[in-house]
Amino acid sequence: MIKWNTKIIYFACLIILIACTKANKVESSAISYVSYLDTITDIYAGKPVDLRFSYKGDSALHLIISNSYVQTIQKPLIKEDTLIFNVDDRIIKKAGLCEWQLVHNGISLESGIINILPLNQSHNNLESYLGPRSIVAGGHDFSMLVVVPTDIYDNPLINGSSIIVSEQFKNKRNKIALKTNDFLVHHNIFSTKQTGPFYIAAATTNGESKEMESSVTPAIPDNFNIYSKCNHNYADGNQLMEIYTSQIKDIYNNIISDGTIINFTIHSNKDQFFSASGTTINGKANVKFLHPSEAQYWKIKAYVDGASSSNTIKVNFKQSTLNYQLSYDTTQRILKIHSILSYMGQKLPDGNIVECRIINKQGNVTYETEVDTQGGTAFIDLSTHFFDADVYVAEIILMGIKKTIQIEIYDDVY
Amino acid sequence: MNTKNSLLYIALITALAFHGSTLFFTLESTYDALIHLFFADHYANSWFDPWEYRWYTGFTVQSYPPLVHQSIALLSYIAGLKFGLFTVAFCGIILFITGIYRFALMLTGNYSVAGYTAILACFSTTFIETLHLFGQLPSIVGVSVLLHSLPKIYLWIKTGKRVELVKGLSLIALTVTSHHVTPIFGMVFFIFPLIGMAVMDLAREQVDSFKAIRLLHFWIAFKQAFWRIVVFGGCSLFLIIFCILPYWINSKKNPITQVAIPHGSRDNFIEVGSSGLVFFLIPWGVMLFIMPYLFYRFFSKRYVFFGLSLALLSLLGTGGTTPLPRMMLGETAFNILTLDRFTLWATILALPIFGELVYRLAEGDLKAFFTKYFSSIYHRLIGGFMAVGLLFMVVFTVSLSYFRPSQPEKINMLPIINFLHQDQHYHWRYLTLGFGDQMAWLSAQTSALTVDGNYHSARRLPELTTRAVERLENSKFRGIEGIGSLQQFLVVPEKYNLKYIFSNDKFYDPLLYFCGWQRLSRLENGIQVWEKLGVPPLSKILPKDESSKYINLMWGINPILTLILAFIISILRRWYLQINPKKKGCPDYLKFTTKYERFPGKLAYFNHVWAFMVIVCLAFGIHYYYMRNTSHVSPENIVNAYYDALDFKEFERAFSYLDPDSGEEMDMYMQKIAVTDGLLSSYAKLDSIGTTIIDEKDNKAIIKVVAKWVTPLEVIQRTYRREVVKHNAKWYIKPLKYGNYIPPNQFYSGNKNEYYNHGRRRITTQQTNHEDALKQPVIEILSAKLVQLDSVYAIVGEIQNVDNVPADVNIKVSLYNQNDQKLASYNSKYMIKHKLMPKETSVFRVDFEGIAWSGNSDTKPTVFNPDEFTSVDWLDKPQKFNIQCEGNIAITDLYKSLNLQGIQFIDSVYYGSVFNSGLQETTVPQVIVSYYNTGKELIWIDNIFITESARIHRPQTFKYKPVDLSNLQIISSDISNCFVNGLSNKTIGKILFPYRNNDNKENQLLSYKNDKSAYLKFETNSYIGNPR
Repeated sequence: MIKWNTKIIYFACLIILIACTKANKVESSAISYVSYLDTITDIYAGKPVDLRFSYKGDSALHLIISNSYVQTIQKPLIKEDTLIFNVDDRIIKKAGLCEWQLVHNGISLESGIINILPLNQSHNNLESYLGPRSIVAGGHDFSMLVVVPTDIYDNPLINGSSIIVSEQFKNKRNKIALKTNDFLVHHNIFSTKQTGPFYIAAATTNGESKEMESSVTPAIPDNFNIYSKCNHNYADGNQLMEIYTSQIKDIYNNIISDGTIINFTIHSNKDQFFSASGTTINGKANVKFLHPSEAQYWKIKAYVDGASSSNTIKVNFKQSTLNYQLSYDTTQRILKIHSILSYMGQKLPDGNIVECRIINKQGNVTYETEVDTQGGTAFIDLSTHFFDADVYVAEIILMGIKKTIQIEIYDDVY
Repeated sequence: MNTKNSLLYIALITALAFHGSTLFFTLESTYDALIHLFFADHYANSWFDPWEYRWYTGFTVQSYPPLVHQSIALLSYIAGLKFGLFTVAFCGIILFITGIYRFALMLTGNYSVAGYTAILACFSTTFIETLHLFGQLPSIVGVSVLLHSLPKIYLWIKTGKRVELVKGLSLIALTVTSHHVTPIFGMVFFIFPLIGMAVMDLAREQVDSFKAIRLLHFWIAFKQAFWRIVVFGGCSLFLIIFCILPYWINSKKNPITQVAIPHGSRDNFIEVGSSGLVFFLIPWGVMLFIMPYLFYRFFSKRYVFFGLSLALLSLLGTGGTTPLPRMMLGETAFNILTLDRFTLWATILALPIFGELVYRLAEGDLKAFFTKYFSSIYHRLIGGFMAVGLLFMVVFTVSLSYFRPSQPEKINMLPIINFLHQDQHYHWRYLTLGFGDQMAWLSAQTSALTVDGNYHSARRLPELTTRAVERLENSKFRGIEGIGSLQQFLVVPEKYNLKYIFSNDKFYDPLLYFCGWQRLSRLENGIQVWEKLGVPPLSKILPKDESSKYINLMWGINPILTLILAFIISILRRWYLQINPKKKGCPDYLKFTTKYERFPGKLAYFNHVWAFMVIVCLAFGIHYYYMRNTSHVSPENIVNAYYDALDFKEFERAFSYLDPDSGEEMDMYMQKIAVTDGLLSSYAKLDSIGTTIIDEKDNKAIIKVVAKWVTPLEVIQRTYRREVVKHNAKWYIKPLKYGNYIPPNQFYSGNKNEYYNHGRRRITTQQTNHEDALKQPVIEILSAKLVQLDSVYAIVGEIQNVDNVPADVNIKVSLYNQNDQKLASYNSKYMIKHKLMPKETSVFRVDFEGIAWSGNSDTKPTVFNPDEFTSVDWLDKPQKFNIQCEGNIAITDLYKSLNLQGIQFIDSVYYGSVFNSGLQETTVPQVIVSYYNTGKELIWIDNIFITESARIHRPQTFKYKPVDLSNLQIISSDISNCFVNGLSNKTIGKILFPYRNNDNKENQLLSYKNDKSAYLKFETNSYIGNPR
């Protein structure tokens, strides 16, 4: 009994289920008759659009609208036997093709395309770009202006819209009329030979860009001259020599930009090398070098790397110290360098280096030290070092003058 | 009032008054407290989300038991984080005092002894150190709760009352959620001996006295208690696992890859006196004098298991003094664990017995013993000695951080927080330098992210885990590993979106400068802000390790649940029982009291001998310390003291070591110091100093001093010959001579270009307008070569700022093999002038640094060398390269007035000097030397830092020995894959430099006779420490 009952219930359920699904299908196929009443094809952006359809039967119809911006579904307003779809104003503001489809339960009944056109008039703010903001003088380099004229809904205007580009360089103005192509205008503004900022503006009939600026900066520096200035030409290792440049200009006669680095190099006849960098202000750079401490002959030249160089100037330094005296105190073990006089017979300025080498009988350097002069004298304290009791030769180099003295070292200091 | 507990109440009041008032001056400058505060801040903001973005590159807080942090977080909702911190610390104090009281009561069964123990616990140096010096709150809470649980566990084992098991387990759960290490080791060192004691007490009930217990009795008792032990063991194991299950899962998932970070507790305490003091002498304190008594009592039959535990703990606590702890723990555990916790537990274990001794001394049999065999005066003397000793240790421990501060001075964080929140600076990561543990407090107050962090176990970046570095911000204390780690972040900051550095330590300044960073501004609190140009901001979505929702819920709920349960079971139930008293007997442990009737004479004598030995050892130690540190006693000491004083910039002290007969006056000396600047005198830390007496006769000696300084850029080793003299039995050092050079003029004037980047910024949160962004200056890459010198690959090349504005340059080079597979990528470091004026050229060399010692087999050097270089592990031979050069407008650090003067080649060495012809002192002059082959092509670059500053209009000499390039190989000179600001390098030259004249650059070279290189070029770069 129970088995039979179950079977009956099962079949009953199955029948009900089938019946229900069938009933649904039947209802869905009761399709309404629809006809498109308008024939809208081209409209201007922002203009309200109603799509109207006459219908019969089921009114559960939807409109799928899609454009480059969005895809959306709208419900109709029903007036008697007419369906009215008021297209969303966010869609009609967007220029371009707008496709619509009228659907009923997933079946497309009608479809069409509306071509939304941009307005003829541009927005009063012109979208514009200019870059790079600095270019090099001479006509090779350029800034590019890009203007995208748009209507009040930010739709690019149709091709061929006219744009007036104005360029102002110093007191000279230049106006160019251009037409948009592929929605935009681009224009190269080549650098002038003269440096300075130029200003760019673009305008349509009722829209203006903001003021844009680009600077023409100096081109690569041209060759230049250098000069030297010394208080005296003695090699006293203390005074400063100044080297400065003429006003450096680029090949178009513009003063090169401030901060340009100028490298100065000096080769001396004593196989010494000197170098310094100066930055220009108003086209001029200067550097200072310390005088050498022995007679030397300098060849000086300045460069802008990879671009230009100066003339070579020559400076001759005369020996400032001609002689000095050495004495040795055996008990204190102190070597004294004294009577170091400079070019006028005055005491040598402080701080000049005295090199000292102590050489033993075999000719080997056993000790090396450096001190500097003070008040025309220098002391080398040999008591701080350990020597075997013997006779040595002390070799002194000061201001390029080499002198020797024999010294005796005893055991009894330490 | 319960008179039995009166001593406890006194102890509690004393502890709260003493620790409570001291806490406000110590806790914030401890090592750990602020880290816990940071964790608490995390929970306060996102209770259930364990991912914390602010440290490292994100880590999970499931790596540390959360209860203490969550409690602080909960309390912070009332009155802020610090309120939470201090309240939890107060709770910790109360829990510790009551816990030790209960433990002592259980151990001795004597209320007076427990009371004395509680009072001693107030003044326990180990507790003071843990709380006021280390700030280990979770550890304190953990061990205190564990102490509370011990009597319950005892009663469960002994009597089998289930309610005691529940109480005990609820407390164990609380311990687990506070601190994970405490219950694990607590099991071994506290609970196992406790079980042993409980079984012993069960055995005692079979016989008349403890003496009569034999193994058989113990075995019978053990069988009786076996299932209780098993039940307890099983339950607690379950709790240990379950309560902090996310922690275990995380440990399994992210095993700690961090290499061992050196810790003082692993030192040899005899060799490293400071570690011995902090990790041995201070924790043990006065108890050192009564060691024989402690061990005598603990090795009595009842306590024998505790005795073993104490012996083991004391031994492990001695760290690396003997090889035993290392052998017992094994190499890995020894290097991971901080061994000070063993001493902490040992001293806590010993406290009740110390309390017992004090009780016996104050009112027990020891008093009678002393009065009988010595005199009552002697008894008072001993009492006085102990009291004074105790007080001295207490005062010494509390004030230790005052005399030897472990942290930099308290930093006002507000200006930094404001800076980070202004102008969207939080869109980048930041880094602090020289903040100490206060960096955690900064992190807690801002939502900005840092690449650093203060919880080593959570680190994931191999740059950090492979180095034994605590934090990047104090990397100078970790030598090469520290600076090495830091350098990897400074050179390639864009990898970490690191743009801002807050520097509280000028030590790092030259490193930052030469890595291409620039100073931005000094904040109101004196913190210097450094900035790196051209670093992209953090992306909006950052990577995160997701853990399961249930795990997160468990982590958020479990700890607080254990707290609530423990509160209900232990406290509410007790209150309920107070209101509805039931008759109950006294706890079982009170039955096993020791009668303090006759103090063992031999022990007293032996302890006297021991105490005397300790005093002798201490006296010897102090004498040794005095002789080593007293300046004038020997020639070596005076030299060491002099350089030590110079190192710490204590010039007055340094002057006091100078020979008074040398004619040097204080004012003159200070003047000399004032004009001395440079890498060596301003940015160096004395690493080691060796002194050898060359000769000593009567009152004079000559000493050879070999000093090694660590600077952020390189290690400097200098040898000096110093003369020392003796006057009136005191040694003095003779001053060195200083240079006499005086510039010729008194007054100088000069003009300079100044720049300001306004950038037309508007007050808006919108993205900067296209036209308001400054144009990037154009750089041209003139040449670049991939070269190999020995086993090192490098890119050398030359760039020029072809624009008309100053540029900040950053170069990133990637190397590829023949099949275009990327092998390595790195940025330019020291060997480049990062700031270029218009038309200025700079050579550059990019080395490819790997992450040092990332391989397990690599041996780490024990000696510090910030110049240490770890080459990348090359999978294949590099053949091609790509250079991405980026220019940004620079407005600072454009000093170019450092000349090269009189460079001369004598005996294979170049001698010369830099002459500062400008009006700013160059603190660290750098000389960059480039090598050219016979075709005048750049082939190699080298550099030196001059250790003394170049003062205004003064020369500074240097020496340079050219490198040997006989093994140099040029692999590629192809610069077709070079880009500047994203544009092809080729097009740049065409437009901006159409007629390049290479001859004039080549004319500036110096000819140099060598088999590989025919020409050299010297350039200067200057770091100005105090720009005006």
